[in-house]
Amino acid sequence: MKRVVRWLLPMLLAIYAPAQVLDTPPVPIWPGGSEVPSHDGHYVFLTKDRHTLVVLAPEDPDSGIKGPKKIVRVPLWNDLKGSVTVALTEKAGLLTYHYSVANGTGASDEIGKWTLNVPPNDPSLRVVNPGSGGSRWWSGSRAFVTIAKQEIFPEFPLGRYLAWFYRDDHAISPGKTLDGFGLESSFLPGLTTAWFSSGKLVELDQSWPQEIFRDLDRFYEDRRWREPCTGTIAPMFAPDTPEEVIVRQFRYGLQQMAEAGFLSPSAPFVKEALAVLESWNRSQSAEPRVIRARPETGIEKEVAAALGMTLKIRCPE
Amino acid sequence: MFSKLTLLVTLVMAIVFVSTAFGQTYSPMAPPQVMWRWTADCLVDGSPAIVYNCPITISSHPFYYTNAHLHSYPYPPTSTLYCINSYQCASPYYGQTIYANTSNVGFVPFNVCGSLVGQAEYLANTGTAGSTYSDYAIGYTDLHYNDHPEIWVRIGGSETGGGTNHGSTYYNRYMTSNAAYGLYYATYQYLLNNPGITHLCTNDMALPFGGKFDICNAPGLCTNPVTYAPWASPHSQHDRGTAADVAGTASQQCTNAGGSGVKVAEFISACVDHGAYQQYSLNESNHAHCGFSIPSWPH
Repeated sequence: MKRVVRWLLPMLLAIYAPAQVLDTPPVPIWPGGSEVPSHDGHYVFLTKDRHTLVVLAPEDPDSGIKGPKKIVRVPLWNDLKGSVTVALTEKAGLLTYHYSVANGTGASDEIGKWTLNVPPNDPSLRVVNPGSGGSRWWSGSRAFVTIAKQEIFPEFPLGRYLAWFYRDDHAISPGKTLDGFGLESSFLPGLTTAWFSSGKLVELDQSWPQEIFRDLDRFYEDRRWREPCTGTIAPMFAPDTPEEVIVRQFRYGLQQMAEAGFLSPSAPFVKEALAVLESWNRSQSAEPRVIRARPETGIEKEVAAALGMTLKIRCPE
Repeated sequence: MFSKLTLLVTLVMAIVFVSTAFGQTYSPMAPPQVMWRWTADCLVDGSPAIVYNCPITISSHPFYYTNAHLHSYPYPPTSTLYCINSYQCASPYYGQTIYANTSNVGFVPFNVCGSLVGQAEYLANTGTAGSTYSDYAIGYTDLHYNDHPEIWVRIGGSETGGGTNHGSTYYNRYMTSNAAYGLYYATYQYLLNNPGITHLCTNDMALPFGGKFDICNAPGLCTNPVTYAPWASPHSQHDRGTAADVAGTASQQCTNAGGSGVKVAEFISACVDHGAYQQYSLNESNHAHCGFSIPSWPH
């Protein structure tokens, strides 16, 4: 019998988790203008809005990097205001993670791909795709290799990318929300990273000289510069995961979420959740732990739900 | 002479071998752009010997039509020879041919730097007593034949109408193992997401021993002065066996061969999720180019 977990009721509000503030771009900020500026050995720039690469490419491919240059603008298609909300239901020991993805009204690009970082070893995982009447609006699947870094949680182990890609005209326009994404798994919920992308190619030219690609290598090293990301909840812990591992990951994860701006470090729920996790080993107790502060935002409610499911921490609804 | 040759690859590896036969070989093989050391002696009564003040001419030459390069004009570049002791050689001390003298050393040490072209080559050592030859090759030894007929249709060869003058589709599909796994898994992910599609069309990867995968002489390309670049780029990122082309929906060659073209952005996305570099994975209009490594430079 399907049981809706009370403290994991679907979140009614899609709370936009602000994009992480990345301080120092890996390439210089484009000074503007239509003339090739003094570039001091830099050939790749980022516009102030961080949505376009400006490349100083050779006018003549044969002249190499030393010759006259032209300005090539490369749209990153990353003006997205992505957010994801998750709700969980349980049936016969199997959890279903219901995801809803929204693109904020302030965006100018569509979301055509979104990606979760999931553990490499979850044999129970099954992907649910949004669609209607037998047609898939998006298709999702898990990658086979374990290379996915947790950019928000760098100490988490590497995972596997699990990406959904849009079909036909079902990309998520600014101001729109699409639900129907889902995962079924016996794994318990934990924190992970979600990325949003347009699903469009960023068009680079392989004939550019090595010096340009060196700059591009620096830019592409951190995925967050080209794809906005957020923290969310996904199946992260095998059912037999030791409690101390879960506690450690949540403690570290919540600190990272607060540092990155996805959670407010001064929010009563966040402060109390961290305090409970900090004191976990010192307060051995058969009684369930309790967080008395009410989770206020969507992401706080999702964290509360995950803590309840994995560590039996009680939170007010 | 080269009957006793010491091959010192830059990586501390020393191989001593005897070579007198004249015929192409892929062993020993050195990577493109890597320099290693050889010595040349004079020939006395058919045998190498330490002889002082013996003039010799050393030159590198290609074996034509090797490593699936089925074109020979213009002639392929060969390894460059560098005289180590300038007093033993005539200026300019380097080139495909160097004019040397064993002087008071009794032999001529020199460096060989492989060109960008993967191919079988030989060194000729000519003195007053005749010539000797030593065979070697330029290329990579870590490339593997990469075909999975259960999910891929081979295209890009002479039999599918896409030939680049490198023979059949059996010759354009060599990759390093890491890149091959990435492409294989990216394909499976794409197939998972696109029910009904069973076979994608894989085009150029690398030649059997890698090195320059020039696309000169391809129909329509060699008549174009921009793309007529024998023994050179474009197509440079296929030199190392870390990239592959997969036909897009616009590829008639793929359709004719019985495969399905991919949606380029989606396939590249799958490649990136399996380890390809976004910045080296490119939309090339009718195909996705997945680059699983930072390419070798210079091209």
